[in-house]
Amino acid sequence: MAPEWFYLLSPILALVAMVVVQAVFLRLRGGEQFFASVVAGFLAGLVVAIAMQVALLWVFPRNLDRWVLAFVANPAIYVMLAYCFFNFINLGHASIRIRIFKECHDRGGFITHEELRAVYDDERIRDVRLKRLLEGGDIVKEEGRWKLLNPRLVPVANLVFALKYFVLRRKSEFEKVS
Amino acid sequence: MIPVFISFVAFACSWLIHLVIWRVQFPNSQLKALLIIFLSTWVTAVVLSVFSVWANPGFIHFLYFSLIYWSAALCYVITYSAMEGDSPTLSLARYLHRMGDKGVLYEEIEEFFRQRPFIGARIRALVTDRILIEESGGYRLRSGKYLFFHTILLYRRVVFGPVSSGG
Repeated sequence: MAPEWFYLLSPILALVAMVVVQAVFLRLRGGEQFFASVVAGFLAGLVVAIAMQVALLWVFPRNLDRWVLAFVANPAIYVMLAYCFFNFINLGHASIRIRIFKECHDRGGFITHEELRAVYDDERIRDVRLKRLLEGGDIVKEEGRWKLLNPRLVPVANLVFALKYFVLRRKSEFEKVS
Repeated sequence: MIPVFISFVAFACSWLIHLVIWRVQFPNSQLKALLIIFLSTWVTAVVLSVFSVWANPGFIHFLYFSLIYWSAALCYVITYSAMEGDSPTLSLARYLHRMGDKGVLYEEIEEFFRQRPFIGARIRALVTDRILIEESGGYRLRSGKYLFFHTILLYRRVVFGPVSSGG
């Protein structure tokens, strides 16, 4: 194998490490601590990416121009692939569309309104999301009032809403701005 | 550094084309339109570059360009799918943040969700994307392989175990 290929393989191997470590971590924790598993996987991939970068300089010291390209491009590629992977697994975790598809598919490709209402309705979505935020320490219930405890999701939400307004010219799918 | 630069320029071009098209006319199937734009720009960049820039540095530069460009494109497509529809969790987090230290009553959260029928919106999106067909009494899944959906569900089964309903 030509040395060039090793430079290109580096972010792919880092992603493989992330996928494996995230899956093993989650399996060992019995499906709990989803976000911790993602962080653990990401850090494992980062270690592989850095190790590969050092190894490439050590093994192919004459290919300095390739190494500089890999030094700039590989971390960026790895972070982008990791972001894609995180969103991919998060779709299975939280996407309503994927869940509706599954319910319909499991029933042989047809789901009645009643069946859909029985497994999914907005009240259920509301309560599951509230429970998830409560268990994650994001919100708290004090004297009958629900409050935001940890604002870690707010910058993400603000970024998504700002992008939505800039690209789609609306603040929410439920209220058209223009 | 040429592949990094060309990837950046190609991605910027795709994004501007997407923005212009969206300003003129919203496509019905937005994700499909977005993927077509990214693919067309990639093909154009390859055709424009293949006889000039890549010729000397070699095939590896072409692969680097493709890897950087498609990683960025997929990141954007994923982010776009998140902003296309509102996330119940992020919407709620934003709402509670707006309400500050006084917080809200459960009834106010109920009202917040009543104004945002997420399930109906997602079903409409599945119908618009021609995945579900509305029939009397319910919804029929259009025939197709749905590899992307099945891959996500398979991954979830392998890692989490059986997928439960709700939430």
